[in-house]
Amino acid sequence: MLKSGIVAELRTIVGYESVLEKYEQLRTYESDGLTSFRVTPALVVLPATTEEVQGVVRICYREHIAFVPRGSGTGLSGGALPIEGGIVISLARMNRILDVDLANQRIVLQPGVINLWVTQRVAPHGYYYAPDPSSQQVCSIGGNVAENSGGAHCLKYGFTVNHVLGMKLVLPNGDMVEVGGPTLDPPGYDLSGIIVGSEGTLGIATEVTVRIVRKAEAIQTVLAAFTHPDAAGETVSGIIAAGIVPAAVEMMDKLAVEACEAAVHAGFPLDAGAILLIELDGPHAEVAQQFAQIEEICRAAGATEYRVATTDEERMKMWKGRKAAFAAMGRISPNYIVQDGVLPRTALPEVLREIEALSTHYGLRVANVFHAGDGNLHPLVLYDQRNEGAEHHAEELAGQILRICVEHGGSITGEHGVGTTKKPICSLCLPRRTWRPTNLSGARLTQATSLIPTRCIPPHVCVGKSPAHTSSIR
Amino acid sequence: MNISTQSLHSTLASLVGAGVRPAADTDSVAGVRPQVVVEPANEEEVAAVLAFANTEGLHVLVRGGGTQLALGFPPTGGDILLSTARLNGIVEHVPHDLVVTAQAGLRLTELQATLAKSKQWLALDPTLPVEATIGGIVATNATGPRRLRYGGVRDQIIGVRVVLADGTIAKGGGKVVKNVAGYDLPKLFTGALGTLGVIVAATFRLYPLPVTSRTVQITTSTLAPLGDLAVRILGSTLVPTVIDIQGDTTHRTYTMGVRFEMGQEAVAAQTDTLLAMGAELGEGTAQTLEGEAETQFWAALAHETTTSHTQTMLTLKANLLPTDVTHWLTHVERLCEQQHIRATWYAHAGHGLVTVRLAGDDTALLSATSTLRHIAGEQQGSVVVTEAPLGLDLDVWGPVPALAVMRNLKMRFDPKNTLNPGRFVGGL
Repeated sequence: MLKSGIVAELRTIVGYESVLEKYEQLRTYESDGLTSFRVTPALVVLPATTEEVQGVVRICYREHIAFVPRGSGTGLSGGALPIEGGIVISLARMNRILDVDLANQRIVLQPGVINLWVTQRVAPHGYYYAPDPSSQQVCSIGGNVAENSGGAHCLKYGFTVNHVLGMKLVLPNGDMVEVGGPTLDPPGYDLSGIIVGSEGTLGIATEVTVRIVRKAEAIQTVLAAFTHPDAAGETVSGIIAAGIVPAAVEMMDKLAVEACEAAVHAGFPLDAGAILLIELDGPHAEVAQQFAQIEEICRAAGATEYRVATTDEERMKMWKGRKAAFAAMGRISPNYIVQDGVLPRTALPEVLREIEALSTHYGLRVANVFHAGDGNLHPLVLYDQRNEGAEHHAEELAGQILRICVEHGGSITGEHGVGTTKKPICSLCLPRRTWRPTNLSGARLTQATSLIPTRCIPPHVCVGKSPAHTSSIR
Repeated sequence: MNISTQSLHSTLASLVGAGVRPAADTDSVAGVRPQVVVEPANEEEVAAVLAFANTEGLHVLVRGGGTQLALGFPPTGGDILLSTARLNGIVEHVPHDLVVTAQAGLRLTELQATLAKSKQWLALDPTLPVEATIGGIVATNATGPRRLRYGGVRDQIIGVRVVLADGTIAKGGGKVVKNVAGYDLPKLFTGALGTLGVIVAATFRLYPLPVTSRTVQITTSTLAPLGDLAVRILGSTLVPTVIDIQGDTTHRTYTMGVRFEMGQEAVAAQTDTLLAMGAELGEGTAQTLEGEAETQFWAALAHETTTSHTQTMLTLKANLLPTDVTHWLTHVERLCEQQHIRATWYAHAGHGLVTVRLAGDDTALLSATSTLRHIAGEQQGSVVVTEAPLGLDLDVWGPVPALAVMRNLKMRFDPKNTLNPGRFVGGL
C-alpha cells in the first residue's frame, strides 16, 4: 500500500487525470506482450514533460517506491511488468516529434513517439528511420531505446543503438542528465551506448536524438522458395561469400509460412520447406548487378520458386506476411511461445536439426522465423494449454533452444531482451562457476550501475544479476 | 607508493617472466616516466600484473601502438607501463560469419592482411594503421574517413575481453552481431582511454572488401561551395564512403575528395552524377582518380600537415554537425589570420569530424582554442585538444555533460584509480 497523500502529490505534478488508480484502469498495465506474467501495479502515472517525469521519480526515490517505465507495452520479455505495490510510469503522453533536421539527418523525439511515425514524418523528404521491429506500428521509441530493438533491416543498417546519438535521461533519483548529443564523439564515456538496451534499469529517456537514413535509389525484394531449410541456409552463406550485404535476409520454415498464409494471405508458397525474403537497396546499378548474382546463388541452391516483387505493393505484401508471423501463430495453435535466440549464422543448419529433434522429443510443433543475415532465430513453440503438462513442456523446449544457441557460441536474446522471462536463464550465457569473476554483465556491472542510485529500479529487470546481489543494491 | 624499482622489477618478473624491463625515456607518457615496462604474454599475466598493482596502490599506464599517447591529460601517476605488444594474435576469424576476434596488441594492417585473404576487412581506417593496435583503436575510439559509410568503432565492435583494475578477467558482448543479453559493455570500453579496464581482445563484425574504388577530386579557391556540395551529397542518393575536405592557411586552395567503393558500374554511375553536381559549382576543377593516383591522393591528403620547429603546435578535433563544418572552419581561418597562426585542417564533411593542426605562439593558440570551442558549443558540437605540448595550461577535453555519472562509473570499475589515472575527462 502506498502512503496516504502520495496520490494527491503525484496529481499535483501530472494532473488529476494522469494518475490512474482504479482497478479496471490498472489492469491495462498488468503485463506487456509477455502475457503469461501479470502484476497489477498500485498506480499508473502518465507524465507529459521531462520535469513531470523528474517530479514523479523524485517522489518514488524519496518514498522508496519501485517504479517501472513503460512505452507501448509491446515488449516480449516482461520488461514492463509492474512491481507488486509499485508504480508504472507510462511515457505514452510524451509523444511529440520535437525537431527535424533533414540536412544533418537527425530527428529529436519524445519517448512515446511511435516508431513508424518517424518514417511517416520524414518519408515525404526521401528519408526513413531504419530500425523496424515487427511491432513498429505500435511500439514506441522509448521502448526501442530500452530494448535496443532491431528488426528485419538491421543486418545492413544496425540496431537502435547505432541510430541513437543522444538523449535526456532522468536518473532514478530524479536528476536529469544530457547524454551524447547530435554530433559524433562527444568527450567522455559512451553513456548512450550503455543506456540503449539497458531495459529501463538505468533511467528514463525523455528526449531521444536519432539518425534518419536517406532512402536508397533502388530497392529490390525477392521471395525464394526451397524444398529444405538447409538449401535456404546454403543460399544465405552463398550471398555472404559473394561479398553482398543485403538490406535484409529473412527465413521462414514451412510451419511459419503456413501460419502467415492463414493470417494475411501474402502469397507465400505453402509447399516449400523454407522461404527466404531477400532485399537489396542502393544505387540502381549496384542493386541490379547484385540481384543477378543472388538469383544465380538461389538457383544453384535449388530454389523451386524465385519471385521478384515488381511493385511497391507486392513488396509491402511480402513484408506484411513476414511481420505478421508471430501473431499468425494463433491461426494454427491455441497457444505459443515466442523465443528469441542468436547463433553464428554458419551454425544454422545444425541448430535447426537439433530443434527438430527437440520438437519430436516433446511432441510439440516448432515454427521458425529467422533473421538469417544476423543469426537471430525466433522459434515459435506451439502448444495447447488444455493438454496437461503441455505448457510446461513448451517452456522447457523453448529453454532448450537457447541452450543450443549458447552452445554454438550465440546468445539468449537478440532483440527481445532479458526482462522477466530470461533472468533465470542468464546463467546459460554466464556459467555459474565463472559468473562473478569473469562476467561483466553479471554481478560486476550491477555494481557498476548502482552508482546511479538503483534502489527504485525493479531488481528483477536488472540484467544478469545474481540473486545474491539483489540485497546489495543501494 | 613506496617500492623500489628493483623490487618492483623482481616481483613483476615473477608474474610475467621475461616480459619485464626497466623503463626508458621513450616509455614516458606525457612526461610521466614509469619505473618498469611489462609486456604480458596472455590475459592471465595481465590479470596478475593488475591484481598486484591494485593491491599495492600502484598506477598502471597502458600502451598499444603508442600513436595516441598524447591524447588526454598527463597521467597523475604511472609506476608500471603495461604494453600489449605481445598480445598480438588473431583469436578467431570465421569468414562466413563475417566476424573476427583479435588480441589487443595486434596491429591493424596485420589484421587487415589476414582478412583480405577472405576478401574481407575491418571497416576502420584510422590515420596510422601500421602502428595502431586493435586495443588502442578501441580505447581511443580511433576512426577515419570511411566512418561516413561504415560507422565508427562502436558500430562494429560486438564483443570485448578486458582485465579490470583488480585483475578480474571479464567479457562483454560475444561473437554474434545481434545480442541484447546484458549491458552493452563493448560500447562502454570504446573511447574510455583504458580507464575502466585493460582491453585484451575485441570482436568485430566485418565487411566484404569493395570491388572497385574511384575518387572525384574537386579543387576550389573558396570553401563555401565545397561545404554546400558536401551537404547536397548527403541529401542525395549518392553513397560515397568518404566526403573529405582539406585546406590550409598558406595556399588558400581547398581540396575535396569524394570516394565511391562498390561494383564497377555503380561506381561509374555515381561518379558521373557527382561530376555533374560539381560542374554546377561554377568554379574550381574536378578530376577522377583511380588506382595508384587515387591511393596517392588519399595518402597525401591525410598527411598534409602544418609543422614548426620554433612555434607551439596544437591539434584539435572538432565534433560538429555536418552543416556546421564550413561555418566553423571559416572561424578557424579568421582567427588564424587575426592571431598569426598557421593551420592545416582535414574535415570529414560527411560526418562532421574535423582535425585542425595549428602552429603559433602560446597565447594566440590558447585564445583561439577557447573561441573555437565556444563556437562549436553554440551549435551543440565540441572541441577536444588531441595533441598539445606539456606545460600548456589547457583543458584538453572541454566541458563534459553528465560528468558526475561518469565519475561514478569510474569509481565502480576502478575505485583505487589504478588505470591511466587522471588522463580522461574531468581528470578521471
